[in-house]
This record gives sequence, C-alpha cells and structure tokens, in this order.
Amino acid sequence: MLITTKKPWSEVQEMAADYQTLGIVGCGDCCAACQTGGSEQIKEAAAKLTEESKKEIVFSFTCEAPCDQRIIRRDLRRVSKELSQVDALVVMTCGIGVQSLAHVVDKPLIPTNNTQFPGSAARLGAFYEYCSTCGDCVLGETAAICPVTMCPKGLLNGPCEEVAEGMCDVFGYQKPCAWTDIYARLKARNSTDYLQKVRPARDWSSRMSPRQVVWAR
Amino acid sequence: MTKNNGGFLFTAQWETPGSLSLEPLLQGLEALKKGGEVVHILEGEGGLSPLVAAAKARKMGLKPVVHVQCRDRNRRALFSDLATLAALGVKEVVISTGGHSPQLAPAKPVYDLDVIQILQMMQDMGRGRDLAGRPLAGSFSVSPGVVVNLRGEPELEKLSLRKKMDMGAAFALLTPSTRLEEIEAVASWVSLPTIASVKLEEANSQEIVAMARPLMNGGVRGLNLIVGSGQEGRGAEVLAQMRRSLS
Ligand code: SF4
Ligand code: SF4
Repeated sequence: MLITTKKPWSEVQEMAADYQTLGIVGCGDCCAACQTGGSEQIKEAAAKLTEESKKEIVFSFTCEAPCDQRIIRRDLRRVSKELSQVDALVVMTCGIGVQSLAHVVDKPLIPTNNTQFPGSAARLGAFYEYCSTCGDCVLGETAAICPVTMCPKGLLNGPCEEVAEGMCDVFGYQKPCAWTDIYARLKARNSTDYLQKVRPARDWSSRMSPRQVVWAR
Repeated sequence: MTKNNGGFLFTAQWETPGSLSLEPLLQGLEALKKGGEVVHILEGEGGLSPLVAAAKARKMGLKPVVHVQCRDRNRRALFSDLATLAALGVKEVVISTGGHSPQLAPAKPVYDLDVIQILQMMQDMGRGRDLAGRPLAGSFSVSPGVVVNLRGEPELEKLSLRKKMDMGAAFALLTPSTRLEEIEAVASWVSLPTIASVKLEEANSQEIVAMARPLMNGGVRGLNLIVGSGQEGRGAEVLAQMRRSLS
C-alpha cells in the first residue's frame, strides 16, 4: 500500500482560504489504513473546516480506490449535482489519488496528505518501506530482502565498507545491514552463489519519470 | 604498488581541506611530503577536489593514490574523474562506497554505481571504451585497490573480495585498526597485496611505530597512516620514525 501522513492542518487551511463551499473525497483503501483519509478522518476534517474555518461542506464520501480513474469518475458522477455547487475539493488521498481526481474533475484540489512511500503494515500504525519501485526486481536473488531499499545506499553487489558487527553506518549503527542479513539468509539456504553474481549498473534510461505501463491493444 | 623499505610501504592518508584557496592544500601536502612519497588523498567533507590535490602532489614529486567513492558522483562524473586521474599520470586509486551521514549535510546521496560497477567501468576504460562503448583516445592503466572491512562478517567479506578480484581489484586496503591480531586475522586470508591502516588520532606515536615490524613479518605489505587536518606534521614524523624502525 501507499503510506501517507497528514499534512500540518495549517497548510490545509491556507490552501482552503480562498474557497467557501467544499466537497471532501477520502480513500477507503491505503489512506483508511493509514488513518489519513478514511471515514473517521473525513468526519474530523469536515468538523474542523465548518467549526474553525466556517466553511460549508456540501458533500463528502470515501472512494474505494481514488487512484483508479474509472472508479473515482463513477463516484463523482453520483454526486454531480453537489459537485457543481462546490468551489473546491478537499482530497484526503495520496498524491496519486489527487492527480487521478485532477484528470476527471476540473476543480481546485486541496490535498491533506503527504505521500511517503510504498510500504507494508506490520501492525496498526507501523508502516515500513520495503520497495523503491526500481522496475527490475532482484528479490529472487537476495533472499527476499530488497537491497535497493533496505540498504540505504541501494548497493546491488554486496556490502559497503562501513558495516560494523552487522549494523549499518547510515543510521548511526542503529539498524541492521541489509547485505549482512541477505548473506545470513542465503547461507541458511545454501544459496550464497547469488552473492557472486555481478549485477551491472542500472539502466536509467527506462527509469526517468513519469513512467508508464500501457498494454498494447 | 609502490614499495620502499625492502618492500614495506608507508603511506599517509589525508582528506582535502575545505577552503576557497589552494594554500591549506599545498601546505598540507608539503608537510606530508616529509613523511614519504605516497599520499592517499580523499575528498574531505566540503573539501577541495582530490583531482586538483593529485595534480599538485604530482608536481611536488609525490605519488598520489586517490580514493574514488560512489557516494557523491554518478557514473558520468566518476568516469570523468577516473579519466582525469589517468591523464594526470595517477597510477593507483582506491575504489570504495563511501559513508553517507544524513545528519551532517542533508544532501541527496548518489550511489549510482557500486564498487563492482566502478571496477567494471575501469575494465572497459582499460579496453579503451567509454561509458557508451565508444573508442577512447589514449591508454588507461590505473590500478584499482579496494577496501576490506575488518568489522564486516568475515565470510561475506571473503565473498565480496573474491568478486572484486574477479573485476580487477589489484590490492586491498584494510579499514583502520590498532589491534594487530585483528589486522593479521583478516590479512591472513586476503590474497591480494594488503595495506593495513591506522588512525593517527587513535594511538600514540610509539604504539603506531611499533606496529610496523610485526605487520611486515606477518605478510602485510604496508601501513597507511590516516592523518587528520592539522596533524600533517606529526603524521610525517611518525611515518619517518616507522621507516627508521625498519632500517
Ligand atoms: S528490487 Fe527492491 S526496489 Fe526493485 S522492485 Fe524489487 S523490491 Fe522493489
Ligand atoms: S552497512 Fe549494509 S545496509 Fe548499510 S549502507 Fe552498507 S551495505 Fe548498505
């Protein structure tokens, strides 16, 4: 899922300053799990906007997947009358949701969240970055530990010279070294041959953003 | 590897000073010159370019060994640095990853290439090819050393070094330690000419001088003294004492 955190409310207020009537769109998937755009957070935002900022909330809803333009388009059609009455939309999604909305509706959009990383939820309120979306996955060779992400230097061919007693220098030796962990797992599986593989430099020509995947029709 | 004292090599390792004039760099090199002819040069935090330092060092009659790090440069910049070093007549470099301290300066880390990939690029340069595989004018004969980490997981370090040797690593520089048994334990399995390192600030002069003979007898090929800024004079003196202790 995409991990989001809330923007400071003052930032949202500043962006909303010029608008009086608002609609609110939340996310029932990742942002609900991160408690940044689920129904509870929509209620809280609506209360603050009406009570503190004296705005009028014309409608609000949680979209099951605002990052899917087909779904958000469908949901907005259901509130088309209300939509025509609002000055702007408060969008409680990730940055992808905000931009998907921008593709289907011509209204000023006020994002309430900061998008952090694609992550895994270990438990409620504990989210961890495991993948940097590099586009050329090596997990099959690295015992399912991503060197691009878990090694802060993103090294593909083994450890740096700064590791000490299995701990990584970048965070003051407070976190484990990804490559030491990769080695330990590969060794336990008799697969250390993978450590001898030379992984060439990444080809950045295919990694320039914005990337796209479009199926041939 | 450049040798003296019956094959045992004494070198100073020094980071370029942060300055908007060349004066501190020239003074530092002059002071280090009294300790011997080989100086390992690294880019200091916000320091002057090691390329300029290498050029100046060569002019003074020194043999610079420049440390090239993955940390701050992408492949184009690394290629340019290595080509420039070759053009300046530098014969040896040490390729390392380099540490990143987000606490110090909140800069974007680069790490476009890792050590293996830089060694691969150097092999291509040696074959007269540039980054795009086009022919390069001139010849490239820069010998790469790599770092072996005394504090790494030993089996993983061995595998790592094997891979670096397959990619052309020609000598090994050990991470610093004042503990002879620790150095010897690692040096015993490193199958490349091996240079131990010690930080001047981590031991008194006598202790450092006393390390030279047992290391030499243990098959280590040299001792690299890491000298901090402002310590160049003392560093040169310790190097001279070590040299005398073996003669
Ligand atoms: S190697 Fe890492 S960053 Fe790349 S796709 Fe796999 S998990 Fe993601
Ligand atoms: S210590 Fe390990 S995880 Fe940290 S940067 Fe070095 S190789 Fe990567």
